[in-house]
Amino acid sequence: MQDLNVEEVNVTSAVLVGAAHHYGNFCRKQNDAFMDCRTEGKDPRKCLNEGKEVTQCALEFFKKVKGSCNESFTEYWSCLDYNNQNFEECRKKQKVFDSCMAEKLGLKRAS
Amino acid sequence: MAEAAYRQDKPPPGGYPEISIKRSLPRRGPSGLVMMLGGVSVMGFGLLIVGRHNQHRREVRKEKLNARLFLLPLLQAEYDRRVLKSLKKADEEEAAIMKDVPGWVVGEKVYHTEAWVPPLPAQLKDF
Repeated sequence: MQDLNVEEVNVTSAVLVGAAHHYGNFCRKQNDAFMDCRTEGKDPRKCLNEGKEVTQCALEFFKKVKGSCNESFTEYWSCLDYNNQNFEECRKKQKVFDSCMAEKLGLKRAS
Repeated sequence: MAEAAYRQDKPPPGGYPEISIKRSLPRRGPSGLVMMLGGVSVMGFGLLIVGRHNQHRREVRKEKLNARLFLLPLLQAEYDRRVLKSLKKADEEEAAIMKDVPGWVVGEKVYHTEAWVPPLPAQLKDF
């Protein structure tokens, strides 16, 4: 079997949830490819390469976010963390984060 | 009888006023139609508010589910690698334990299928 030791995304749930909509837009291709492979054969052993690409794309995404929008993103996910990951409580900080992402990285929220 | 100066409880001068014993049930207040319209409009307004809020709740729910959907591949890939690593480790342990047993096939399948069988919790020792 191939090497299963891959550099993993080392973030907590609030970070993932905070970035989820932008991440969905950024890594659309890799995610779709992996899910297609997975639902087609239902065999994880056959989709290891696609899985590695997904993790790779996620790492790239978070590096980009930390590079450009670190402060607003940290504020946003800290607010989510405090509020049980309830989006409604953090609309103001979300706006700031969204505008930063759109400005600096040209990324919008998916759907 | 002497002329006593006492007060008598007499009726007022001119007598008492007329006591009307006629039936008196005046028709007053809003008519039935007006009441219906008022009730319907209040309920309609309330339904509008409820409907709009339900739409908002649906969108909030959609946002939450979308977030989960976008994160799913990342978490699934991580989980797959974790499971496969754990199974590999179990196989290695099995090989080490049963190395002196003749005719023992390590990781022998118990099913006659090539498909992936999701592992039981007991198989994932070092998960």
